[in-house]
Amino acid sequence: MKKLYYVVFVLMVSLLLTGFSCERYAKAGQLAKDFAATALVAQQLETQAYNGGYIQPATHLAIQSKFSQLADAGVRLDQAINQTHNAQGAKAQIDVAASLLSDLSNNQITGIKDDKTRLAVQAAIVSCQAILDNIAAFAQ
Amino acid sequence: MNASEILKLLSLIAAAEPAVLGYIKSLLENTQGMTGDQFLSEADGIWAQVKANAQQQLQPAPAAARSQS
Repeated sequence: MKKLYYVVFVLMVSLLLTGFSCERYAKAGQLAKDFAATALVAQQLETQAYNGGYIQPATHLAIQSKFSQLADAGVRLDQAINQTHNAQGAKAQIDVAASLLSDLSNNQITGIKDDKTRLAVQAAIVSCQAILDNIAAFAQ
Repeated sequence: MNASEILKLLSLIAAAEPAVLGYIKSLLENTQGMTGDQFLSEADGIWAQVKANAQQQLQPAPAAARSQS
């Protein structure tokens, strides 16, 4: 009977740990999806502003090139989260994405001459950074 | 930034790009019950869209369009 208690105890602990792990994995995945969706919005906003004549072609190309790199980094981040089943193992990819967003915010977007457009695109990028910060905080 | 400025900024963004409204809607949608795999799968699909959009924008303009400009 005592042995049965041990088995049940081990099973319950295993289930609890599995549940905890799955919850963390789902949360990391949800944040990763929010990050991607916000980046898409930022990109569409920038493209719309370019089509409206508010952004110079050279600046537009530089920003889109950065979005292309960000998409690659985002896929690698998703893979890292998938492999580790939480955000902890994805720290390196989080850093890469954060660096790209920082570069985008500090260099490419500052090239947008129209104030309102720059503010709007900047706001969308700040949202991306905030979500990424949440993923990073979740990894602690 | 006060609440009025934030609302003004949100309305500016929403007016500039209807997709923002779709994004806000998707954020408000109930995502409980989705697994980590499902979230990541959706994230990968969105990144593919970002990549495709960027590639489209980075493509050189057609010769006809260049000659007209």
